[in-house]
Amino acid sequence: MDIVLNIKDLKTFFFTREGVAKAVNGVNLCLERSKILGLVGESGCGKSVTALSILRIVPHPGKIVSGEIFLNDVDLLKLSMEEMRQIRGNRISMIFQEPMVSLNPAFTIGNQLIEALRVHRRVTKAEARNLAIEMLRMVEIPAPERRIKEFPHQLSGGMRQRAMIAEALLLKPEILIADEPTTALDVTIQAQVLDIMYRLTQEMKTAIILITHNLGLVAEWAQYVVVLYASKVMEEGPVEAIFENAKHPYTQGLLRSIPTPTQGRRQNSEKLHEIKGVVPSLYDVPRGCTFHPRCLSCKAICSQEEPPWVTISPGHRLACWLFV
Amino acid sequence: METLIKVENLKKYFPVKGFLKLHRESVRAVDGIELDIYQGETLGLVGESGSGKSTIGRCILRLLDPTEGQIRFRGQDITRMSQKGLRPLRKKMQVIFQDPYSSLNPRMTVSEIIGDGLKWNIGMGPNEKRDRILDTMRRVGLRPEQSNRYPHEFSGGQRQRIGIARAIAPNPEFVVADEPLSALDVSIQAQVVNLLEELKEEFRLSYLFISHDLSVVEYISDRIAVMYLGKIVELAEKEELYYNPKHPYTTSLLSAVPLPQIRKKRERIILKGDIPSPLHPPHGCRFHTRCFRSMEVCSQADPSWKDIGGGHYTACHLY
Repeated sequence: MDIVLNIKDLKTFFFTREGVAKAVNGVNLCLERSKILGLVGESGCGKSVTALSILRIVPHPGKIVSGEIFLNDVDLLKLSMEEMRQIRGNRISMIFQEPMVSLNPAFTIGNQLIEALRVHRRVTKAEARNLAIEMLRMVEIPAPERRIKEFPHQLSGGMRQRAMIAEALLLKPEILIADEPTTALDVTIQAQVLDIMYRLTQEMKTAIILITHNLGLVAEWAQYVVVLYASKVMEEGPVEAIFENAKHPYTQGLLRSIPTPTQGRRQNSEKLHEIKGVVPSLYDVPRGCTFHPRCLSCKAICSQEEPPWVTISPGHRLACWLFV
Repeated sequence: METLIKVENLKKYFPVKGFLKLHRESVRAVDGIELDIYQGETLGLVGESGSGKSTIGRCILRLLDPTEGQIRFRGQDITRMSQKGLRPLRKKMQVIFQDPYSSLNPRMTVSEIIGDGLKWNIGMGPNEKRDRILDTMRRVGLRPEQSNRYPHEFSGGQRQRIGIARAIAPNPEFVVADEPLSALDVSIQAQVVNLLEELKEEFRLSYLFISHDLSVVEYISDRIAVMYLGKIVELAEKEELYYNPKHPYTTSLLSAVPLPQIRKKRERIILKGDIPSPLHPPHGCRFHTRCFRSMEVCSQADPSWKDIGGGHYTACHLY
């Protein structure tokens, strides 16, 4: 296996007046070159904070408390801010959910693409401009010579997100972190955007961390899945293992709570499976297994001790007392 | 089946002021639609953002005044009825909004919010009103002792329950659910879907369920209408629509939905380009600029709304 990114026991906490919010609490993650890893979970489970931790841009009052993040053989957490700056946007880049917020409204699309090139590569302005136009053409933006002079507000939502992808992939990064890249887009546009992202990263051998709450997207695009719940990894494995042979009660519940078109001819009495209760507050995470208050198969030990990791099949692991 | 709501040739234009008010244009949010909602059914309305789904819902409730067309509620024309005249009907037609964070007044307690919905249930005494509020809270899964709390003390899913309680407290016949799930987490969405289904049975409600999530619409609806740029392009029973879609837009929309299963890798139809602006919709069929089966005639004539058998309607030159 050709591992590009390896996260070991990452802990990122937010120190607020109300207490310590453990946003990421012991996450392990392994990313293979030119593969797509789906990081799924509900809002507030620590998906985005994991991503921000990789780039070391966790906002105040958040701090990376412990852990290691290896990019190839280098621990990113040991680098200086200057060395880190060499990596951001260059070897690891990120696409955010809302393209209107992440593109600078005061600069043209061209400015923003050219700046990224000029910071990291020794190229002339003219060369940078040509590369930028080429990249916009690759993300299927029509008339890129004209679009390059336009401001973000002049583009449609789908086009803005494609411009973001162009910017993120301009320097052929080793890793692309896509944080809910299509949530703000309509389904037909969503398919376009993901298709482009997939084709380009395959050409460049870029690995993707696809952060989403949409299990459908993960099933269609990812090769490997990590399921997060309340700042911890519950289950991880190859996409086939997770979608066809999920073992963790949370993963199972999540999969069963989504209506799929195969259920079309259901009986009238048949109800959608629901996971009872609510996601716990990060200030007050349950003892033992974090999922135990909502778990249907909860045992006595679940509320006492944290479950150990169990390997079901190669690569398919979960943290649950039922399988110990 | 008895028709509860009949919408004929509904149009809603929003004027946009041009430079120095020199020229006036309008956004054609809804541009001539026909729709019947039957007693006791859930009609799903799907489409992408800006296609006019919410505008239809709001016109039917007369929260917006239609530009043209006619809306009938149980045969009674309510298109031009005064706000005062509408009051007796208000309690029969309710709405659940998308965002439970902005649709609940933060300065009102839960019982005030639910009680506000009972404003036009004239002749209801204070005790009866209090009982109704508590009963409704219990019914949607809120505890009666929470009645004096404020919305910010609740989670998203519970807030949506407050919104639902407010809508069903007056004992309505018809509820517009405008994207009621999109602000909620996956594990909470299922709870709300089940609640809406139970309430429908119990109170014999009819829903207009507006959503962009095709899987949920398919699960909850009896019939589904698909919108594109201010027009309904297809309407059919849900099985018929999902297994036998006729309009190319419906076909591509269905193929674009990512499914949480890996066995079936489907043939995807990826549409080119973006949705045109509703300010200047394309001539002829509005979908022809992105359609993969576009013909000569599509750019010239607007296709008519046809019944192609068994209550399956579509507006497409192919049929």
